[in-house]
Amino acid sequence: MNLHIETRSDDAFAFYIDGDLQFDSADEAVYHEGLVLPALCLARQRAGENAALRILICGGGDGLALRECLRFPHVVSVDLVDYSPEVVQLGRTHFTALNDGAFDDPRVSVHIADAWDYLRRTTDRYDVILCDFTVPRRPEDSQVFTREWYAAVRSALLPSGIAALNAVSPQITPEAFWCLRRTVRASGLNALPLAMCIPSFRDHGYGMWGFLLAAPQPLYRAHLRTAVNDAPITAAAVDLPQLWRAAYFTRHERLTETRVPIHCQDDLCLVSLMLNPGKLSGAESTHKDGPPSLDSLLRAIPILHPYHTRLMVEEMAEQVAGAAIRSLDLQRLLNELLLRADRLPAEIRREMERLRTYLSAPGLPPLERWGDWAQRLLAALLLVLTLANLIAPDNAFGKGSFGLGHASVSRSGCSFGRGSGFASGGREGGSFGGGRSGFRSAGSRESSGSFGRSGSFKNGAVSSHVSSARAADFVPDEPIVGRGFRGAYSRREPIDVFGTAYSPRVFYYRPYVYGHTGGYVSNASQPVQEQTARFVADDDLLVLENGDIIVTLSDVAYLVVSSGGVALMQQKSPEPVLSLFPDPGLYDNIRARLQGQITALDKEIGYRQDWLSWVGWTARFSPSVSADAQELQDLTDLRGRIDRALTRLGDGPDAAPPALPGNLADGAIELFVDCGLLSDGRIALLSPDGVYHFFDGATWSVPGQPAQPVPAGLVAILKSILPKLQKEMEGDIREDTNDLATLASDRVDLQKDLAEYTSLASQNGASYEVDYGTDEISASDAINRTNADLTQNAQDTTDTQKDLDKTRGEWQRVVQASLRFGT
Amino acid sequence: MTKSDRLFKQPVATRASLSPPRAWIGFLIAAVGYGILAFRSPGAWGVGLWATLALLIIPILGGLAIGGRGYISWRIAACFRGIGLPMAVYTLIGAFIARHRVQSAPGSGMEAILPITILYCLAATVAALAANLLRDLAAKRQPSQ
Repeated sequence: MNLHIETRSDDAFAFYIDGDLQFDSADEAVYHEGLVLPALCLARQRAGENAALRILICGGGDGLALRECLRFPHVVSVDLVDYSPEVVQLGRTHFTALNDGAFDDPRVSVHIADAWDYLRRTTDRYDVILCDFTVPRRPEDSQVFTREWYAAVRSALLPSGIAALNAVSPQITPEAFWCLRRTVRASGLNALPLAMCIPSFRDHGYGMWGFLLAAPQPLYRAHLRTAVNDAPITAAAVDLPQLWRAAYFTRHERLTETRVPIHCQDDLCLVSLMLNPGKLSGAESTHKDGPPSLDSLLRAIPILHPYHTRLMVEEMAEQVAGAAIRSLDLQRLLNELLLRADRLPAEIRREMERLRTYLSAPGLPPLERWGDWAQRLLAALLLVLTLANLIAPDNAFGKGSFGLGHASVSRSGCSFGRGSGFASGGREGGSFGGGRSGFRSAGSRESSGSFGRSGSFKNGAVSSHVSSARAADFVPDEPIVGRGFRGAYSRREPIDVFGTAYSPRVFYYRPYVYGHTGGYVSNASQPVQEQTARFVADDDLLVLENGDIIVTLSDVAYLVVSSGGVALMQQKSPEPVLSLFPDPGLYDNIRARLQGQITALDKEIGYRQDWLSWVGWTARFSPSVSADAQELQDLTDLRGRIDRALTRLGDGPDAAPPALPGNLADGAIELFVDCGLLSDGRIALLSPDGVYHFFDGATWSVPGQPAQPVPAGLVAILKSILPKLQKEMEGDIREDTNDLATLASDRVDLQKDLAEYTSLASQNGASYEVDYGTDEISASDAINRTNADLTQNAQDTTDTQKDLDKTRGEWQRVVQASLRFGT
Repeated sequence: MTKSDRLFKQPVATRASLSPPRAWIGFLIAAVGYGILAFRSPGAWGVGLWATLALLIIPILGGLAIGGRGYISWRIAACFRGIGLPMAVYTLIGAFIARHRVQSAPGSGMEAILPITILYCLAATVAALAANLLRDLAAKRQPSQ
């Protein structure tokens, strides 16, 4: 306990315990008269005017409350109990002038003891009990404010007795003040609250100060008014006849009591309520005038220590979080995160990509947008953690496996995208925004992957791919939850099947005519047209206003797929860089995706038609129903648009693309449809007439024919695609490396477990029950399962290592190609 | 007895002759009928068939089950209890299910569902009342026994 006396020049002084002001000699009389006089007046009245009063003071070692008690001639004895001999010693010495030498009065008995112990021991009953405790700053110090304590006080009071309790500020910490009143009432006492202004307390920021009068008998303001008006003494500092007015509180203030908990030993809530005033007032609405701010989040952080203040929390957020965020290269962070985002839900990936788009847009997004993003991010993290903890606490806290016996999450084989787990399941069908699988050698997996790959490059293996691309595989499972069909679509913004709106994207190119063998024939007499993307069928598959289909390859390159042809375009040029072979695999993939999304749209259209058949007739006077009708109209329009796009798409040739000559197909990496990086470092492209062209960075040629000029823009396109592929492969390599490390760690754990199970089995028998994760099974079963896990672990390690070696080899080739093409 | 007395005051004998179980039989018929109807929305049934079933056939069956020769005030109350309540429940359930599938605009459902439930209820009451009047007319044309 840290005691401090601050003396001023006018000989006045202030007394502090642990930094908290206890009293200031200039106005201490207000506090002590406010605490003592009402209680003694009431007790005298209830006990009879000439009755002898016995008083117990708990705390109050400074002797100032004692002084007030001794002013009453009816007081025959005062027991003062304080656990601090230092404070009592100060009362006997330093404060003697102030307390009028109260400790020397023969009626006074001083007990240095814990008040709890004293009350337990004593058999005396008192007319007045004064609780003059220091306001608690830690939950463990608040035992003498609990319901149990007040119950003890009650049992030590005579039936006509009165207790006066030092409380807290009803102005600054109303929840804590009314919590105390509720706690007192819960102990079986009646309680009358009082509030007084003590100047020194106010100057220290404590606000109006509160007391509680408590009694086994009913206690009203009227009782107090009668009692103080009949007081046998004159107060020095307070207007005693008007003191009863201090018990007035508005109804609104009193209603706080209905919302606060009871402070008891099972729930020591008082300190928390004091440190976090206003937290019971419910969630503040911060969404009325715009996006939510971070302030509401900061306010939601509870103060858990008395020496922490709200200002400190805000400064911490500013210095730590603010400085960190300012020094963060968010663009780079997002790029890196997106490289690792394969396993994240599609919605989160889309949000991240939207953020990247915002960041790459010229000019900074508005400040409110940042708050909105931060709020979403934190909310999402909290939700994910909470749900993860509910579903699988062991996994969420890294304490063990998912229902298995050991600390291995990898041996199930589903974490590494090897076909059976969720990481790879979404890629099996060959998403356009796919992920790493498509970057491997095209022939190794039947996947079209990113960059519009058909999966058929190198060996012409189209047939199996065609048969695997079915519309049913691409029907989205999620419903329409975005509001894009309620405005964004009408504003001609691109939108996906879930109703999510995207930034507008425009493509400029000249009208054309396609032919299966002739390729793209530009109609030079037509002006360049501006075509807006209207539908986002996949991350890199767009449907334009005119029904053409765009497969985006990079920021500067895209494919136009329409009318039975495929054209490689550069963003800056209205003319095609090259016409490519219309790969049936690509067509089949696009068709299957669009038809799958039409199926989803049909379902959603049906739902809305059902709904509007109930309420459609209220659309005239109900804006929400009107919006529903608008949504239905937009959905129907989009469905028609996709239908037209499918018609416009036409059919590619039935024939599979020709295979690469000789052994060039071995080790080829598909960059996009009809384009691959060969093992000799050249780029091969398949023209509409089925002839392979080769590009080695300098010459553009067909075997057996003289070299031709390099198509304008081709180098720029390769420069944009190769680094992207390289980065994605680096992400794959890091992921595989991490997987291997995890597998190795799992293996060690499994071996330890196996040794332990074996030891237990040998000591106690094979049927001895052992802990296996959250189960208890026999030791022999545990040994068998652990052996099976070890076998699986070895298989996973082999597969992952094989993948890693292959990816590293391909990555080196892509790096060399990038260098060759000057990226 | 004035005309209004005849219309709105309920003779004790009539009240006694129409026992509560008959009203509950009407309620049961309506509940089953609307329960079947609730499997599909009005649009899915076809508006014509739906209106015929919801506003004519089911109320007529319910009204016939309720029967009685009471005055209008009593019949309104009886029909409302017998037909309107199932209609309201049917409308609420059907509309809620339909709205539940539309997830893109949460919160707009209740705004529309409550008013239309009330309106459907009123429509059902009118339909049931008409059915009861038809039943009375038919009864009057039968030769007295």
